[in-house]
Amino acid sequence: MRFRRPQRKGLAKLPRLPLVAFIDVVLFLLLYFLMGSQFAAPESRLEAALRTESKGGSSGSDLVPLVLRITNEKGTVTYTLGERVMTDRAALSLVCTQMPKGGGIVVRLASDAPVWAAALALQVARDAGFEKVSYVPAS
Amino acid sequence: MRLNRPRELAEAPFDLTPMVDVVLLLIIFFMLSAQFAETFGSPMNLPGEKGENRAKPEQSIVVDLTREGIVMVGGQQVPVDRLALLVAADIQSFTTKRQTWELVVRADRDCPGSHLNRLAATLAAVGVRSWKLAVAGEGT
Repeated sequence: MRFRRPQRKGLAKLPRLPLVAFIDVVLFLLLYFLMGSQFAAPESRLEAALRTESKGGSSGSDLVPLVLRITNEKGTVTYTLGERVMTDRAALSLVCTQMPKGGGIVVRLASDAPVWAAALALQVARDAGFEKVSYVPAS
Repeated sequence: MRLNRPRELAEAPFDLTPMVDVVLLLIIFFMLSAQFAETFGSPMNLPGEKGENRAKPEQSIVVDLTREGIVMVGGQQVPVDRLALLVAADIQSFTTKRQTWELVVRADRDCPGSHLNRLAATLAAVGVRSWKLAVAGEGT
């Protein structure tokens, strides 16, 4: 009985691949992504309802929203919620968690207070569990 | 005179497989990590908060507010009264097409509240009932 001698794979003729063109394209893509990519920190969002002064707090609910006023007292950002006055995030967070959430919260930013303070207040309110968070532009 | 016939030079063996592997790996890395700007907004020093995860609507109106109170849309300075017209037209267009939309304000973290309030009042006047303040992730 005669068996066919198996062909050695290494010797089998492989189809030739045009590698030069392939490498050209690949390097081009690499350069494209290198130049086009932006390694910036991803942005996120903080949502707030936008209300005007004239609309007041009547949103079909009997519950009155809390009003958080942000002011700038001689360079120190101050958060006032009712009679409580806070100057840091931890204190504001603690007070917000203790407050009733049903009526929501309204954030008001004074003219000389910075935007980051408004963002902080919106974030703290969300983290504290307020579903209705509004921003009312102070006149 | 006898000249030596130039011999064909043998090509040095060069193993391309690992190189192609590495290059493809780099391409995949850059493809996955690349963030092509979603907005045309200029680089902004945004407030450093973590933000919140919400479903993204189909359309976005992005308004930049610089530290000096300059309002920019699509990288171009826009007067506030013209912004009201632009936003109103966009909202009208989205409403007609029944598309969901959001209005994002990218305000500089040190921008005074007076500028933000002026912008908010303008937006409220054209019927914007909800907005989003862009933040730059935690710890910044």
